[in-house]
Amino acid sequence: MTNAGAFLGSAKSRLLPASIPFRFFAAAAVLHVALWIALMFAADEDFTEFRGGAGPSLAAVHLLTVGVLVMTAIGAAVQLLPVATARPLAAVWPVKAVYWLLTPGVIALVAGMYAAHVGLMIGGAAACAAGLLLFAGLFADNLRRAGSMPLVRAYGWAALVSLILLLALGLALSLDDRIGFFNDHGAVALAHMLLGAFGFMGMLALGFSHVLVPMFALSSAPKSRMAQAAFAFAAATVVVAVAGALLGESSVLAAACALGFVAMCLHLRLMHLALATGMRKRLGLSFVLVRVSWAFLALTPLAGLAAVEGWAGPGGPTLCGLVALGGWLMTFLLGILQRIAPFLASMHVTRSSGGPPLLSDLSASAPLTVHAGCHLAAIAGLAVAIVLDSATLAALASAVGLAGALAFALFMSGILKTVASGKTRS
Amino acid sequence: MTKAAGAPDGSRVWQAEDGLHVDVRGLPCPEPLVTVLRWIDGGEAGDRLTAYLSQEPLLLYAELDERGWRHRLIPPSGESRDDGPVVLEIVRPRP
Repeated sequence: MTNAGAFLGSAKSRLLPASIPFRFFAAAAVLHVALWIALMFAADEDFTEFRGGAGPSLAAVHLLTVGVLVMTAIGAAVQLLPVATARPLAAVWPVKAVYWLLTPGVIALVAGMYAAHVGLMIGGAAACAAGLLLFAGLFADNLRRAGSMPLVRAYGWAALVSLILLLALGLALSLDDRIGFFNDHGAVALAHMLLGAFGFMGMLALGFSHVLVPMFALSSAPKSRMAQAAFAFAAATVVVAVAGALLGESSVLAAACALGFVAMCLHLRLMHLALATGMRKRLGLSFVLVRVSWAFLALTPLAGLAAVEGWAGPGGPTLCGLVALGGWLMTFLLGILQRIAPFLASMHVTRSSGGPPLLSDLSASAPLTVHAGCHLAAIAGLAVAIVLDSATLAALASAVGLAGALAFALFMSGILKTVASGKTRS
Repeated sequence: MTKAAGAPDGSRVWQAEDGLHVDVRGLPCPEPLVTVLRWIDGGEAGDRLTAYLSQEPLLLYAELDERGWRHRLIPPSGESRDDGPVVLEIVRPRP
Protein backbone atom coordinates (compact mmCIF):
# COMPACT_ATOMS: atom_id res chain seq x y z
CA MET A 1 0.00 0.00 0.00
CA THR A 2 1.29 3.47 -0.78
CA ASN A 3 2.58 5.70 1.93
CA ALA A 4 2.08 9.14 0.53
CA GLY A 5 0.91 8.91 -3.03
CA ALA A 6 3.91 10.23 -4.88
CA PHE A 7 1.94 10.34 -8.12
CA LEU A 8 -0.27 13.08 -6.72
CA GLY A 9 2.63 15.49 -6.84
CA SER A 10 2.09 18.82 -5.14
CA ALA A 11 -1.33 19.46 -6.64
CA LYS A 12 -3.29 17.22 -4.30
CA SER A 13 -0.78 16.26 -1.61
CA ARG A 14 -0.22 18.74 1.21
CA LEU A 15 2.60 16.78 2.85
CA LEU A 16 5.64 18.96 3.48
CA PRO A 17 9.13 17.51 3.96
CA ALA A 18 9.42 16.38 7.59
CA SER A 19 12.25 18.84 8.21
CA ILE A 20 9.90 21.79 7.70
CA PRO A 21 7.51 21.45 10.66
CA PHE A 22 9.94 19.52 12.84
CA ARG A 23 12.64 22.20 12.75
CA PHE A 24 10.18 24.54 14.49
CA PHE A 25 9.15 21.84 16.99
CA ALA A 26 12.80 21.09 17.79
CA ALA A 27 13.53 24.80 18.33
CA ALA A 28 10.46 25.10 20.55
CA ALA A 29 11.60 22.11 22.66
CA VAL A 30 15.08 23.60 23.14
CA LEU A 31 13.78 27.10 23.91
CA HIS A 32 11.29 25.52 26.32
CA VAL A 33 14.26 24.26 28.35
CA ALA A 34 15.88 27.71 28.12
CA LEU A 35 12.63 29.30 29.34
CA TRP A 36 12.66 27.44 32.64
CA ILE A 37 16.39 28.15 33.13
CA ALA A 38 15.73 31.85 32.55
CA LEU A 39 12.86 31.71 35.02
CA MET A 40 15.19 30.24 37.67
CA PHE A 41 17.38 33.34 37.28
CA ALA A 42 14.37 35.65 37.04
CA ALA A 43 13.03 34.26 40.33
CA ASP A 44 15.91 35.93 42.16
CA GLU A 45 15.20 39.26 40.48
CA ASP A 46 11.72 40.69 40.00
CA PHE A 47 9.66 37.78 38.63
CA THR A 48 6.93 37.67 41.29
CA GLU A 49 6.09 41.34 40.73
CA PHE A 50 7.28 41.74 37.15
CA ARG A 51 6.04 44.94 35.47
CA GLY A 52 8.23 45.05 32.39
CA GLY A 53 11.70 46.39 31.71
CA ALA A 54 14.80 44.53 30.53
CA GLY A 55 16.11 41.66 32.63
CA PRO A 56 15.69 37.90 33.11
CA SER A 57 11.91 38.14 33.58
CA LEU A 58 11.38 39.91 30.23
CA ALA A 59 13.73 37.39 28.59
CA ALA A 60 11.72 34.51 30.09
CA VAL A 61 8.42 35.99 28.87
CA HIS A 62 9.78 36.20 25.31
CA LEU A 63 11.32 32.72 25.48
CA LEU A 64 7.80 31.54 26.27
CA THR A 65 5.92 33.64 23.73
CA VAL A 66 8.24 33.78 20.72
CA GLY A 67 10.41 30.77 21.57
CA VAL A 68 7.83 28.18 22.61
CA LEU A 69 4.36 29.39 21.60
CA VAL A 70 5.13 31.02 18.24
CA MET A 71 7.62 28.32 17.14
CA THR A 72 5.10 25.58 17.94
CA ALA A 73 2.26 27.46 16.26
CA ILE A 74 4.25 28.09 13.06
CA GLY A 75 5.44 24.47 12.84
CA ALA A 76 1.89 23.22 13.22
CA ALA A 77 0.32 25.89 11.01
CA VAL A 78 2.57 25.40 7.98
CA GLN A 79 1.64 21.70 7.82
CA LEU A 80 -1.96 21.79 9.06
CA LEU A 81 -3.29 25.03 7.53
CA PRO A 82 -2.88 23.81 3.92
CA VAL A 83 -4.60 20.55 4.94
CA ALA A 84 -7.45 22.42 6.63
CA THR A 85 -7.98 24.97 3.86
CA ALA A 86 -7.29 22.43 1.06
CA ARG A 87 -4.93 24.94 -0.50
CA PRO A 88 -1.14 24.34 -0.77
CA LEU A 89 1.40 26.82 0.53
CA ALA A 90 2.57 29.26 -2.13
CA ALA A 91 6.12 27.91 -1.70
CA VAL A 92 8.20 26.02 0.84
CA TRP A 93 11.37 28.11 0.78
CA PRO A 94 9.79 31.07 2.63
CA VAL A 95 9.03 28.74 5.55
CA LYS A 96 12.73 27.90 5.77
CA ALA A 97 13.51 31.62 5.63
CA VAL A 98 11.03 32.24 8.47
CA TYR A 99 12.93 29.70 10.57
CA TRP A 100 16.35 31.17 9.79
CA LEU A 101 15.15 34.66 10.65
CA LEU A 102 13.16 33.73 13.73
CA THR A 103 15.58 31.36 15.46
CA PRO A 104 18.62 33.65 15.62
CA GLY A 105 16.23 36.56 16.07
CA VAL A 106 14.65 35.18 19.21
CA ILE A 107 18.07 34.19 20.62
CA ALA A 108 19.39 37.73 20.06
CA LEU A 109 16.19 39.30 21.39
CA VAL A 110 16.19 37.22 24.55
CA ALA A 111 19.93 37.68 25.11
CA GLY A 112 19.49 41.43 24.67
CA MET A 113 16.60 41.50 27.12
CA TYR A 114 18.46 39.35 29.64
CA ALA A 115 21.58 41.51 29.52
CA ALA A 116 19.70 44.81 28.94
CA HIS A 117 21.70 45.23 25.70
CA VAL A 118 19.63 47.58 23.52
CA GLY A 119 21.53 46.85 20.29
CA LEU A 120 20.96 43.09 20.60
CA MET A 121 17.33 43.72 21.47
CA ILE A 122 16.76 45.89 18.38
CA GLY A 123 18.60 43.45 16.09
CA GLY A 124 16.71 40.48 17.51
CA ALA A 125 13.38 42.28 17.32
CA ALA A 126 14.05 43.26 13.69
CA ALA A 127 14.94 39.67 12.71
CA CYS A 128 11.89 38.28 14.55
CA ALA A 129 9.67 40.90 12.92
CA ALA A 130 11.03 40.05 9.45
CA GLY A 131 10.49 36.33 10.00
CA LEU A 132 7.01 36.79 11.38
CA LEU A 133 6.02 39.18 8.58
CA LEU A 134 7.13 36.55 6.07
CA PHE A 135 5.03 33.97 7.91
CA ALA A 136 2.13 36.44 7.96
CA GLY A 137 2.41 36.79 4.17
CA LEU A 138 2.30 33.00 3.66
CA PHE A 139 -0.55 32.66 6.14
CA ALA A 140 -2.55 35.49 4.52
CA ASP A 141 -2.02 34.07 1.03
CA ASN A 142 -3.34 30.67 2.12
CA LEU A 143 -6.33 32.15 3.98
CA ARG A 144 -7.15 34.35 0.97
CA ARG A 145 -7.31 31.34 -1.35
CA ALA A 146 -9.32 29.18 1.08
CA GLY A 147 -12.92 28.77 -0.05
CA SER A 148 -14.42 27.07 2.99
CA MET A 149 -14.24 27.19 6.77
CA PRO A 150 -15.30 30.83 7.24
CA LEU A 151 -15.02 30.64 11.01
CA VAL A 152 -11.46 29.30 11.05
CA ARG A 153 -10.54 31.91 8.44
CA ALA A 154 -12.06 34.65 10.59
CA TYR A 155 -9.90 33.57 13.53
CA GLY A 156 -6.92 33.42 11.19
CA TRP A 157 -7.45 36.96 9.87
CA ALA A 158 -7.91 38.28 13.41
CA ALA A 159 -4.66 36.59 14.45
CA LEU A 160 -2.93 38.04 11.42
CA VAL A 161 -4.03 41.63 12.08
CA SER A 162 -2.98 41.21 15.71
CA LEU A 163 0.41 39.91 14.59
CA ILE A 164 1.06 42.96 12.41
CA LEU A 165 0.12 45.35 15.22
CA LEU A 166 2.06 43.28 17.74
CA LEU A 167 5.20 43.44 15.59
CA ALA A 168 4.86 47.18 15.02
CA LEU A 169 4.52 47.84 18.74
CA GLY A 170 7.30 45.36 19.61
CA LEU A 171 9.74 46.99 17.24
CA ALA A 172 8.73 50.45 18.47
CA LEU A 173 9.22 49.36 22.08
CA SER A 174 12.73 48.09 21.37
CA LEU A 175 13.59 51.38 19.61
CA ASP A 176 12.00 53.36 22.48
CA ASP A 177 14.57 51.83 24.82
CA ARG A 178 17.23 53.76 22.84
CA ILE A 179 15.38 56.87 21.64
CA GLY A 180 12.60 57.30 24.20
CA PHE A 181 9.61 58.59 22.22
CA PHE A 182 6.69 56.95 24.07
CA ASN A 183 5.09 58.98 26.84
CA ASP A 184 3.94 55.80 28.52
CA HIS A 185 6.22 52.88 27.64
CA GLY A 186 4.32 50.62 30.07
CA ALA A 187 0.95 51.22 28.38
CA VAL A 188 2.35 50.33 24.97
CA ALA A 189 4.10 47.28 26.45
CA LEU A 190 0.78 46.14 27.93
CA ALA A 191 -0.96 46.58 24.55
CA HIS A 192 1.90 44.61 22.93
CA MET A 193 1.45 41.82 25.48
CA LEU A 194 -2.34 41.73 25.04
CA LEU A 195 -2.00 41.58 21.24
CA GLY A 196 0.51 38.75 21.54
CA ALA A 197 -1.30 36.66 24.14
CA PHE A 198 -4.92 37.15 23.15
CA GLY A 199 -4.75 38.62 19.64
CA PHE A 200 -2.15 36.52 17.85
CA MET A 201 -1.64 33.36 19.91
CA GLY A 202 -5.09 33.40 21.49
CA MET A 203 -6.95 33.71 18.19
CA LEU A 204 -4.75 31.03 16.60
CA ALA A 205 -5.36 28.67 19.53
CA LEU A 206 -9.11 29.29 19.49
CA GLY A 207 -9.35 29.00 15.70
CA PHE A 208 -7.26 25.85 15.34
CA SER A 209 -9.26 24.31 18.21
CA HIS A 210 -12.22 24.24 15.82
CA VAL A 211 -10.24 21.87 13.59
CA LEU A 212 -7.91 20.00 15.95
CA VAL A 213 -10.29 19.15 18.78
CA PRO A 214 -12.96 17.62 16.47
CA MET A 215 -10.16 15.91 14.51
CA PHE A 216 -8.80 14.17 17.59
CA ALA A 217 -12.20 13.51 19.17
CA LEU A 218 -13.60 12.42 15.77
CA SER A 219 -16.58 14.73 15.89
CA SER A 220 -18.02 17.36 13.58
CA ALA A 221 -16.57 20.85 13.67
CA PRO A 222 -18.66 23.44 15.55
CA LYS A 223 -20.57 25.51 13.01
CA SER A 224 -23.47 26.92 14.93
CA ARG A 225 -24.34 30.54 15.63
CA MET A 226 -22.76 29.97 19.01
CA ALA A 227 -19.42 29.51 17.24
CA GLN A 228 -19.86 32.80 15.37
CA ALA A 229 -20.82 34.56 18.61
CA ALA A 230 -17.76 33.11 20.34
CA PHE A 231 -15.53 34.58 17.61
CA ALA A 232 -17.28 37.97 17.81
CA PHE A 233 -16.83 38.16 21.58
CA ALA A 234 -13.20 36.98 21.37
CA ALA A 235 -12.35 39.59 18.73
CA ALA A 236 -14.16 42.30 20.69
CA THR A 237 -12.21 41.31 23.80
CA VAL A 238 -8.90 41.92 22.04
CA VAL A 239 -9.98 45.26 20.54
CA VAL A 240 -11.36 46.60 23.82
CA ALA A 241 -8.41 45.29 25.88
CA VAL A 242 -5.83 46.92 23.59
CA ALA A 243 -7.79 50.18 23.59
CA GLY A 244 -7.98 50.07 27.38
CA ALA A 245 -4.23 49.49 27.64
CA LEU A 246 -3.33 52.34 25.27
CA LEU A 247 -5.81 54.73 26.91
CA GLY A 248 -4.75 53.69 30.40
CA GLU A 249 -8.41 53.23 31.34
CA SER A 250 -8.99 50.50 33.91
CA SER A 251 -12.76 50.60 33.29
CA VAL A 252 -12.17 49.73 29.61
CA LEU A 253 -9.82 46.91 30.62
CA ALA A 254 -12.49 45.64 33.04
CA ALA A 255 -15.04 45.70 30.18
CA ALA A 256 -12.59 43.60 28.12
CA CYS A 257 -12.48 41.07 30.95
CA ALA A 258 -16.30 40.86 30.87
CA LEU A 259 -16.29 40.33 27.10
CA GLY A 260 -13.54 37.76 27.49
CA PHE A 261 -15.60 35.92 30.08
CA VAL A 262 -18.49 35.54 27.61
CA ALA A 263 -16.10 34.48 24.81
CA MET A 264 -14.51 31.92 27.12
CA CYS A 265 -17.88 30.46 28.20
CA LEU A 266 -19.01 30.10 24.58
CA HIS A 267 -15.71 28.56 23.45
CA LEU A 268 -15.64 26.05 26.29
CA ARG A 269 -19.26 25.10 25.60
CA LEU A 270 -18.37 24.46 21.93
CA MET A 271 -15.35 22.38 22.88
CA HIS A 272 -17.44 20.41 25.39
CA LEU A 273 -19.97 19.66 22.64
CA ALA A 274 -17.19 18.57 20.26
CA LEU A 275 -15.82 16.15 22.86
CA ALA A 276 -19.24 14.91 23.96
CA THR A 277 -20.32 14.08 20.40
CA GLY A 278 -16.97 12.60 19.37
CA MET A 279 -16.52 8.93 18.49
CA ARG A 280 -13.27 8.78 20.47
CA LYS A 281 -13.73 9.13 24.21
CA ARG A 282 -10.26 8.15 25.42
CA LEU A 283 -8.07 11.01 24.33
CA GLY A 284 -5.03 10.26 26.47
CA LEU A 285 -2.57 12.41 28.35
CA SER A 286 -2.44 15.16 25.74
CA PHE A 287 -6.07 15.98 26.38
CA VAL A 288 -5.51 15.99 30.14
CA LEU A 289 -3.24 18.95 29.40
CA VAL A 290 -5.77 20.43 26.97
CA ARG A 291 -8.54 20.19 29.58
CA VAL A 292 -6.29 21.77 32.23
CA SER A 293 -5.48 24.55 29.75
CA TRP A 294 -9.22 25.18 29.36
CA ALA A 295 -9.49 25.49 33.17
CA PHE A 296 -6.78 28.16 33.00
CA LEU A 297 -8.64 29.81 30.12
CA ALA A 298 -11.69 29.95 32.37
CA LEU A 299 -9.60 31.63 35.06
CA THR A 300 -8.00 34.15 32.69
CA PRO A 301 -10.80 36.81 32.62
CA LEU A 302 -11.14 36.55 36.39
CA ALA A 303 -7.38 36.90 36.89
CA GLY A 304 -7.45 39.84 34.48
CA LEU A 305 -10.23 41.56 36.41
CA ALA A 306 -8.43 40.91 39.70
CA ALA A 307 -5.28 42.50 38.24
CA VAL A 308 -7.15 45.53 36.84
CA GLU A 309 -9.04 46.18 40.07
CA GLY A 310 -6.03 45.50 42.30
CA TRP A 311 -7.78 42.64 44.13
CA ALA A 312 -4.81 40.30 43.70
CA GLY A 313 -2.22 42.59 45.27
CA PRO A 314 1.01 43.77 43.68
CA GLY A 315 1.56 40.41 41.96
CA GLY A 316 -1.85 40.52 40.25
CA PRO A 317 -0.65 41.45 36.74
CA THR A 318 2.11 38.81 36.88
CA LEU A 319 -0.41 36.22 38.06
CA CYS A 320 -2.74 37.14 35.19
CA GLY A 321 0.16 36.77 32.72
CA LEU A 322 1.06 33.38 34.20
CA VAL A 323 -2.54 32.14 34.00
CA ALA A 324 -2.98 33.26 30.37
CA LEU A 325 0.47 32.57 28.89
CA GLY A 326 1.66 29.65 30.99
CA GLY A 327 -1.56 28.08 32.21
CA TRP A 328 -3.73 28.43 29.11
CA LEU A 329 -1.56 28.89 26.01
CA MET A 330 1.59 26.93 26.92
CA THR A 331 -0.35 24.02 28.43
CA PHE A 332 -2.69 23.92 25.43
CA LEU A 333 0.06 24.06 22.81
CA LEU A 334 2.27 21.47 24.53
CA GLY A 335 -0.75 19.18 24.84
CA ILE A 336 -1.52 19.59 21.14
CA LEU A 337 2.15 19.32 20.13
CA GLN A 338 2.59 15.97 21.87
CA ARG A 339 -0.42 14.76 19.90
CA ILE A 340 0.41 16.09 16.45
CA ALA A 341 4.17 15.41 16.46
CA PRO A 342 3.73 11.58 16.39
CA PHE A 343 0.86 12.08 13.92
CA LEU A 344 3.04 14.03 11.51
CA ALA A 345 6.03 11.74 12.08
CA SER A 346 3.95 8.69 11.14
CA MET A 347 3.55 10.12 7.64
CA HIS A 348 7.30 10.06 7.08
CA VAL A 349 8.43 6.73 8.51
CA THR A 350 7.88 3.01 8.10
CA ARG A 351 7.87 0.31 10.73
CA SER A 352 11.13 -1.64 11.18
CA SER A 353 9.15 -4.85 11.45
CA GLY A 354 7.25 -3.98 8.29
CA GLY A 355 3.96 -2.28 7.60
CA PRO A 356 2.82 1.19 8.53
CA PRO A 357 3.93 2.80 11.82
CA LEU A 358 1.49 3.01 14.71
CA LEU A 359 1.12 6.19 16.73
CA SER A 360 1.93 4.13 19.83
CA ASP A 361 5.37 3.39 18.31
CA LEU A 362 6.07 7.11 18.26
CA SER A 363 4.56 8.29 21.55
CA ALA A 364 7.00 7.82 24.43
CA SER A 365 4.66 7.71 27.41
CA ALA A 366 7.16 7.96 30.26
CA PRO A 367 8.75 11.31 29.29
CA LEU A 368 5.32 12.75 28.54
CA THR A 369 3.97 11.65 31.92
CA VAL A 370 6.96 13.22 33.66
CA HIS A 371 6.52 16.37 31.61
CA ALA A 372 2.81 16.68 32.37
CA GLY A 373 3.31 16.23 36.11
CA CYS A 374 6.24 18.65 36.29
CA HIS A 375 4.58 21.22 34.03
CA LEU A 376 1.39 21.41 36.06
CA ALA A 377 3.29 21.41 39.37
CA ALA A 378 5.54 24.20 38.09
CA ILE A 379 2.66 26.41 36.97
CA ALA A 380 0.88 25.86 40.29
CA GLY A 381 4.12 26.53 42.17
CA LEU A 382 4.76 29.76 40.28
CA ALA A 383 1.20 30.92 41.02
CA VAL A 384 1.70 30.33 44.74
CA ALA A 385 5.12 32.01 44.56
CA ILE A 386 3.57 35.12 43.00
CA VAL A 387 0.78 35.27 45.60
CA LEU A 388 3.26 34.82 48.48
CA ASP A 389 5.94 36.94 46.74
CA SER A 390 8.43 34.13 47.36
CA ALA A 391 11.57 34.10 45.21
CA THR A 392 12.63 30.76 46.72
CA LEU A 393 9.36 29.08 45.79
CA ALA A 394 9.51 30.60 42.28
CA ALA A 395 13.04 29.19 41.80
CA LEU A 396 11.91 25.79 43.09
CA ALA A 397 8.89 25.75 40.78
CA SER A 398 11.12 26.75 37.86
CA ALA A 399 13.46 23.84 38.64
CA VAL A 400 10.47 21.48 38.51
CA GLY A 401 9.42 23.08 35.22
CA LEU A 402 12.96 22.55 33.90
CA ALA A 403 12.74 18.84 34.71
CA GLY A 404 9.47 18.70 32.77
CA ALA A 405 10.97 20.59 29.83
CA LEU A 406 13.92 18.18 29.70
CA ALA A 407 11.48 15.25 29.65
CA PHE A 408 9.56 16.90 26.81
CA ALA A 409 12.82 17.50 24.93
CA LEU A 410 13.61 13.78 25.36
CA PHE A 411 10.24 12.89 23.83
CA MET A 412 10.83 15.27 20.92
CA SER A 413 14.39 14.05 20.33
CA GLY A 414 13.06 10.47 20.12
CA ILE A 415 10.61 11.53 17.43
CA LEU A 416 13.28 13.48 15.55
CA LYS A 417 15.61 10.45 15.59
CA THR A 418 12.82 8.27 14.23
CA VAL A 419 11.97 10.77 11.50
CA ALA A 420 15.64 11.15 10.58
CA SER A 421 16.14 7.37 10.32
CA GLY A 422 12.84 6.87 8.49
CA LYS A 423 12.01 3.80 10.60
CA THR A 424 10.46 3.11 14.00
CA ARG A 425 12.34 1.00 16.57
CA SER A 426 9.88 -1.88 16.54
CA MET B 1 -24.66 -0.06 -8.30
CA THR B 2 -27.31 1.47 -6.02
CA LYS B 3 -28.43 5.06 -6.23
CA ALA B 4 -26.26 7.67 -4.50
CA ALA B 5 -27.67 9.09 -1.30
CA GLY B 6 -26.81 12.36 0.41
CA ALA B 7 -25.86 11.86 4.04
CA PRO B 8 -26.76 14.49 6.67
CA ASP B 9 -23.11 15.60 6.82
CA GLY B 10 -23.13 16.50 3.10
CA SER B 11 -21.23 13.47 1.83
CA ARG B 12 -22.54 11.18 -0.96
CA VAL B 13 -22.69 7.47 -0.33
CA TRP B 14 -23.46 4.55 -2.63
CA GLN B 15 -23.09 0.82 -2.60
CA ALA B 16 -21.36 -0.84 -5.56
CA GLU B 17 -20.32 -4.40 -6.33
CA ASP B 18 -16.89 -3.76 -4.85
CA GLY B 19 -18.22 -2.27 -1.61
CA LEU B 20 -19.27 1.04 -0.15
CA HIS B 21 -18.25 4.28 -1.92
CA VAL B 22 -18.19 7.61 -0.05
CA ASP B 23 -17.64 10.99 -1.71
CA VAL B 24 -16.50 13.54 0.88
CA ARG B 25 -15.22 16.18 -1.54
CA GLY B 26 -16.04 19.73 -0.54
CA LEU B 27 -16.54 18.96 3.15
CA PRO B 28 -14.57 21.20 5.52
CA CYS B 29 -11.75 19.77 7.64
CA PRO B 30 -12.02 17.49 9.62
CA GLU B 31 -15.34 16.22 8.17
CA PRO B 32 -13.76 13.99 5.45
CA LEU B 33 -11.71 12.18 8.10
CA VAL B 34 -14.62 11.89 10.53
CA THR B 35 -17.09 10.75 7.85
CA VAL B 36 -14.86 7.95 6.55
CA LEU B 37 -14.06 6.73 10.07
CA ARG B 38 -17.73 6.87 11.02
CA TRP B 39 -18.54 4.41 8.21
CA ILE B 40 -15.64 2.16 9.22
CA ASP B 41 -16.15 2.25 12.99
CA GLY B 42 -19.91 1.88 12.59
CA GLY B 43 -19.42 -1.37 10.68
CA GLU B 44 -21.43 -0.24 7.62
CA ALA B 45 -18.35 -0.28 5.41
CA GLY B 46 -17.87 -4.01 5.84
CA ASP B 47 -14.34 -4.92 4.74
CA ARG B 48 -13.92 -2.44 1.92
CA LEU B 49 -14.58 1.25 1.34
CA THR B 50 -13.65 3.59 -1.49
CA ALA B 51 -13.36 7.25 -0.54
CA TYR B 52 -13.37 10.21 -2.97
CA LEU B 53 -11.52 13.21 -1.59
CA SER B 54 -10.47 16.71 -2.66
CA GLN B 55 -6.86 16.17 -1.56
CA GLU B 56 -4.61 13.48 -0.18
CA PRO B 57 -6.05 12.55 3.27
CA LEU B 58 -2.88 12.93 5.30
CA LEU B 59 -4.72 12.98 8.59
CA LEU B 60 -6.56 9.75 7.82
CA TYR B 61 -3.60 7.43 7.33
CA ALA B 62 -2.56 7.13 10.99
CA GLU B 63 -6.17 6.49 12.02
CA LEU B 64 -6.54 3.69 9.46
CA ASP B 65 -3.20 2.17 10.45
CA GLU B 66 -4.27 2.16 14.12
CA ARG B 67 -7.42 0.26 13.14
CA GLY B 68 -5.46 -2.28 11.09
CA TRP B 69 -7.00 -1.19 7.79
CA ARG B 70 -4.83 -0.94 4.69
CA HIS B 71 -5.10 1.92 2.24
CA ARG B 72 -4.03 2.57 -1.31
CA LEU B 73 -4.34 5.64 -3.49
CA ILE B 74 -5.75 4.82 -6.89
CA PRO B 75 -3.68 6.53 -9.62
CA PRO B 76 -5.86 9.03 -11.51
CA SER B 77 -6.69 8.34 -15.12
CA GLY B 78 -5.47 10.75 -17.83
CA GLU B 79 -8.12 13.44 -18.04
CA SER B 80 -9.05 13.42 -14.35
CA ARG B 81 -5.44 13.85 -13.24
CA ASP B 82 -5.84 17.53 -12.34
CA ASP B 83 -9.53 18.07 -11.74
CA GLY B 84 -10.69 14.65 -10.59
CA PRO B 85 -10.95 13.36 -7.06
CA VAL B 86 -8.24 11.69 -5.02
CA VAL B 87 -9.48 8.11 -4.73
CA LEU B 88 -8.47 6.08 -1.66
CA GLU B 89 -9.20 2.38 -1.51
CA ILE B 90 -9.47 1.19 2.10
CA VAL B 91 -9.49 -2.52 2.92
CA ARG B 92 -9.64 -4.53 6.13
CA PRO B 93 -7.22 -7.46 5.65
CA ARG B 94 -8.72 -10.86 6.34
CA PRO B 95 -7.14 -12.61 9.35
